[in-house]
Amino acid sequence: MTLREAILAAARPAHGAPYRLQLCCGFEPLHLVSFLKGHLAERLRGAGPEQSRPVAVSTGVFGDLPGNVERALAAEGAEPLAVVVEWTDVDPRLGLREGYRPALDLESSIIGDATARLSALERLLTGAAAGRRIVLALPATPLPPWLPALAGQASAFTLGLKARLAGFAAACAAAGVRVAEPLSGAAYELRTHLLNGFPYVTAHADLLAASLAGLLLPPAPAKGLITDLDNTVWAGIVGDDGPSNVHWSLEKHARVHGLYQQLLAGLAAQGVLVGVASKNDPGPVAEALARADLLLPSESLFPVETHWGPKSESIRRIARAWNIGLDAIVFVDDNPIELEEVRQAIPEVECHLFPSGDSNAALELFGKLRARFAREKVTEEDRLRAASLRNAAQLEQESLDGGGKESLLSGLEARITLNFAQDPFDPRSLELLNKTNQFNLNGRRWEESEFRAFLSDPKALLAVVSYEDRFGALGKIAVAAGLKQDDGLYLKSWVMSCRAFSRRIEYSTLRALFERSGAGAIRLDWQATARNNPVRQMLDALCGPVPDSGPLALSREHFDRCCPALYAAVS
Amino acid sequence: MSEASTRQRLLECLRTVFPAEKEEVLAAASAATHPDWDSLAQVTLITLVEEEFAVSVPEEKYGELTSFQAMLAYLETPRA
Repeated sequence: MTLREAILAAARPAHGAPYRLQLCCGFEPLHLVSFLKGHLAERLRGAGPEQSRPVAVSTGVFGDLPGNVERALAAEGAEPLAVVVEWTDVDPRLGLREGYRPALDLESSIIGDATARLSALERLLTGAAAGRRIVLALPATPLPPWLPALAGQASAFTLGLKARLAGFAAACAAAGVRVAEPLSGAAYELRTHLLNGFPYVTAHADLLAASLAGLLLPPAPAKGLITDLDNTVWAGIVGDDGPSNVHWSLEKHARVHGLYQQLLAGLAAQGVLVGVASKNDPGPVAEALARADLLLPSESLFPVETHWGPKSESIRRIARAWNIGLDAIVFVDDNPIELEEVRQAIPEVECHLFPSGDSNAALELFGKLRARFAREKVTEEDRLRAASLRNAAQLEQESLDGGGKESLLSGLEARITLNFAQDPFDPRSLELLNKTNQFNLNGRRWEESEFRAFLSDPKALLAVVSYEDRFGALGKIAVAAGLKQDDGLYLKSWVMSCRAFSRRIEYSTLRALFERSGAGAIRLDWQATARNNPVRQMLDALCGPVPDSGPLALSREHFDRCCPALYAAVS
Repeated sequence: MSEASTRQRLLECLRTVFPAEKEEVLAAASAATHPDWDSLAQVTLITLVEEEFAVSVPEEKYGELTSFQAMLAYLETPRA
């Protein structure tokens, strides 16, 4: 992004409450503010037209990073902070802008002062990280050129200084601060630093702002990866070569396929859904996937679609089994014709060519896939996701096999737990609110600071719903967020994971909300979206045909009369 | 590079900083006459000019390029 593009991006019309950021640094922030505004505005716009919001960035005073951080933290609200540390903030003698007369014990004096300053900043940031989003960038400017060392030598002093900085960054990261990866390329510009106090070349300011914006507003990760098998998961054609003659080892010059298997195993362990779409006969594929030397657990592949029909059909079937949108799916195949068939049939699916003959290009692809599915932490729900989808498929099959739905639900031994605690902040509740599309009361997305502010309202009521039955646990699968009012409850947001459909958990949740709030009626902030038909179906069943937008009032008496039989134990 | 294109591109630089102004106002603008042409606008304008014309404005020129006409004259002066 150029500076002009950044200024224009930030100036485009946007509606809604401003996204407010506190930028804390010790230098003159100048163009960094413009680039941050531009990148944040683009990210908000990219999340959907309804998320488009103006961006406001406040800054502090020149030369006082710790004071700026203190003042930002003391301000009202829980606005996010972007903290950019430069060597001058670690010790003014490490900057090039201010003059001083070197003392004999310069190095030990700097190390001592730097340690004290970093410790003080660490206390501020780690103490506040639980209450708001903080992102941190580490020094990019060079150390002064007069420090003693041979050309190309890393001196004990420099290494000691960087070790203290790394310790500071690690402590911040452990407390929940998101620390930006160091950027490569030229960063420093002495000319502008001397002229106006801004230390960066514009290209670095752009990259730094993009990096910080990415940490503040990370994109929603894709949910599922569907892969081909031949010359992708392994080298060779399983139908021609046989299950024991497809390879992924270094010895057989097929290590890149082994790396891909490891990537898939890693993604599956993080909760990414991994399925297979292969044009093959099922027998040889099953045999190859059962090989003991496979580098990914074969049970992490679900569903495995092997037949000779179009791959777009396989992808649609897998998407139905996963119950996720086609735009949350990435497809990988080594055959450009298959990719083109999928692109034309399902443009929403993101397609990638597996470059089986080009190891460097394959590594580049692995980096792209890792970024596309990037998530900060792996939760219990992530680990349960694939297994619970398999269980859901089994549940559906049992329902079809006979006995009927009532018999099936009554025999599930289901247990629903509602947690109404609002403190400490549970990132899973925000994640569910912001990524659930189908069972979503109104499609509303919450910015983290806005959600934290909502939770601090004494009238706020938050319910986080967990579920398990005889097929296993689904973990935290639903969130309801509302405000207690005079004689009722105003439900502002309500979402439930698609993995939890068909179990009447939504009805149990409503009943529990009536009981917890003591409300005679619940007002629902209903708004139809392109994808929330499951909510409409439930509301139609409860209230009769509903309009496209609410609010809808549901009395306790009416709910009790219309609610279907519930079998789950609720606590 | 024609004179018109340099002028138009420079006008776009100024329009980025002063989006509400008409072309004739921008062409006559200077730090002395435009109320929003402050030190921040000056630094931003110099950077936009450097970006747009792929030039590096020497430090001693910063204090001189404080009007549209001065910037245009600077950009139209052949440099080695």
